[in-house]
Amino acid sequence: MAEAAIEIDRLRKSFGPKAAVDDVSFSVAAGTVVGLLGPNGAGKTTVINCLTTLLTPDSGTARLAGHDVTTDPAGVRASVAVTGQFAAVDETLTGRENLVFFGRLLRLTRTGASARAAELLDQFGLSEAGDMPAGHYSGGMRRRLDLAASLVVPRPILVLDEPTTGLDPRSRQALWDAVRRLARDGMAILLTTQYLEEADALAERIVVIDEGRVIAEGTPKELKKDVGGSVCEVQISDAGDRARATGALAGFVGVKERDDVLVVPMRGTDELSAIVRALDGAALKADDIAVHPPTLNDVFFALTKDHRGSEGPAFDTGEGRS
Amino acid sequence: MTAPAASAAPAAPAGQAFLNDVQVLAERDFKRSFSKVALFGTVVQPLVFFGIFYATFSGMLADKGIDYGPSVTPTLVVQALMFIAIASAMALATDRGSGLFNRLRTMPISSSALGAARLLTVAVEAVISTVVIALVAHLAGFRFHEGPLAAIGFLLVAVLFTMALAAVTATLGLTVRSQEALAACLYLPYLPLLVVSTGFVPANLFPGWLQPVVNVSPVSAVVEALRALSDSSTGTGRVWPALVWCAGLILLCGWTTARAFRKVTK
Ligand SMILES: Nc1ncnc2c1ncn2[C@@H]1O[C@H](COP(=O)(O)OP(=O)(O)OP(=O)(O)O)[C@@H](O)[C@H]1O
Ligand SMILES: [Mg+2]
Repeated sequence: MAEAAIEIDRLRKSFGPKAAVDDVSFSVAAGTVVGLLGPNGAGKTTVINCLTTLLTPDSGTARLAGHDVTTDPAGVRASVAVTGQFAAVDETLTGRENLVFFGRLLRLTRTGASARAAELLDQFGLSEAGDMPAGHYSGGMRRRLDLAASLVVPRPILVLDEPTTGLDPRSRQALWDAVRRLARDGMAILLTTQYLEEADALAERIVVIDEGRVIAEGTPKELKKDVGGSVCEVQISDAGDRARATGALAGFVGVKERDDVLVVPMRGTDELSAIVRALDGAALKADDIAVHPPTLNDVFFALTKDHRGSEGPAFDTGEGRS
Repeated sequence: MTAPAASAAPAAPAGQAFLNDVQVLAERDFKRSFSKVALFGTVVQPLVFFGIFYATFSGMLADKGIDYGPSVTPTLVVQALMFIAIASAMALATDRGSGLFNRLRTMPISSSALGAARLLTVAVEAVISTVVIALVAHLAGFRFHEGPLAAIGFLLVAVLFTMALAAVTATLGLTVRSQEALAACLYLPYLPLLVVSTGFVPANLFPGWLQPVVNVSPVSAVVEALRALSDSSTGTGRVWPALVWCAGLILLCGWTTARAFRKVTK
């Protein structure tokens, strides 16, 4: 097949005067994972809703498995499985009944659907809760049930809108493993996320959008190279000491002060000892020293600098989640 | 994961797929309809109303030569059908709120299967409510004087009216965003519609300015049709206005519901 599983070309969708998706183009090949990255309100869900026929694009085209979303929505629906941003299950039914329900709607037989439901409950660690009404599930359990529901009958394209939001680390790892396996088996997977580490762990390519526009696209490596390396954060509560530390670290490029923390960009890991030596040399003692890999926040600040001025959006970087 | 990826849902003949979808969707709806809470609405509630109305008014009206039990039974059937249509819209709103509705819209299911399953569900509920009320009303003197065919007609009019009402409420259920506002939209009109009709009081006892409203009310039309199909003293010609009303509402609100359905996003 010459055509990629998902082909989006100059997609545009406005709500009133405001363009939620503005001229977005990218593609996802079979057997690969593409991450759609962006802050709140960037237009991720709107792109997904256009792809899954919930919304009709104003202009531009989107083709999934060769079916155009505007002219052949039925063909699209038969080729795509979706997990929306918010869990979509019947709360009065048990987890098992939910999966059987979706299985039968996808034309499995009653017994086939039951067997598949049992398999998925097991796989998503829900066997014990399988016969409990989904309304009694915790947020994370509901999320897992929701994901299981999109895999009842595997289809060639899988679309996941923030699939790991609200999952604990173990469930998140399990989901990542599942996504990798599905891609290896030939599925084309598009997932949105606000977490660079997630896109990094899963996606061959990342498309970064903000205010409805694609502002960067590339492999995780390429994007991080744009951003630079890790930063070292030196926390010094005493203002006087902090001022002296700024002086001591004058040899480092781009040092910034954020509250009581000095943020020192690092070009390599060996710079850490240089930073510590510089502080030692000035007889300064830091309250805390931490090294952070670039976060989505950093990527974002770097990418949006010329895009919308110095004011970047404030959003969750996913730090402290693991 | 045992994922034989790249295998779409097996293509079944369209008609068969449609029937499968309606069956699976309706089964889920039935499960909900037969929950304790739902049965309270479709079975217990109408009976409670029946008890209240009968105990309160039958003695009073017996003095005036009115046999209250048989004449109020159709009215209470209509009231029960209204509750079914209201609950149907609330069920739709719940599915919208939980996102389930959107998930179904991304699946290879025809929207007509969704509508058909809902109509099938309200039809079954209407049959249950009507039968239960008719059985209990038997104790209060309600009889099908017009024979078994008319009794079946009674049931059919009840089902048809429920579908018409469900089409009306579905439009609201798909249009009004907040559940509270929806509940208000649904529950407010029901009592005026019921009371300002020939359901409890004959048209000529209403104040003059209200009489035209009473006479053209669809509720009056349906109540009169149900009376005609159960009571030998009224002619069966009075069934037609109800049928016209139901057909009109189903056509109009079927269209508005389909429109609202296409517009729903989240
Ligand atoms: N149905 C709608 N009506 C009006 N505006 C909408 C609608 N859906 C989305 N928007 C607007 O479109 C923009 C993009 O929203 P979208 O939900 O696509 O963002 P997102 O990237 O998914 O954000 P999040 O990370 O919060 O989920 C937002 O400004 C939002 O307010
Ligand atoms: Mg979103």
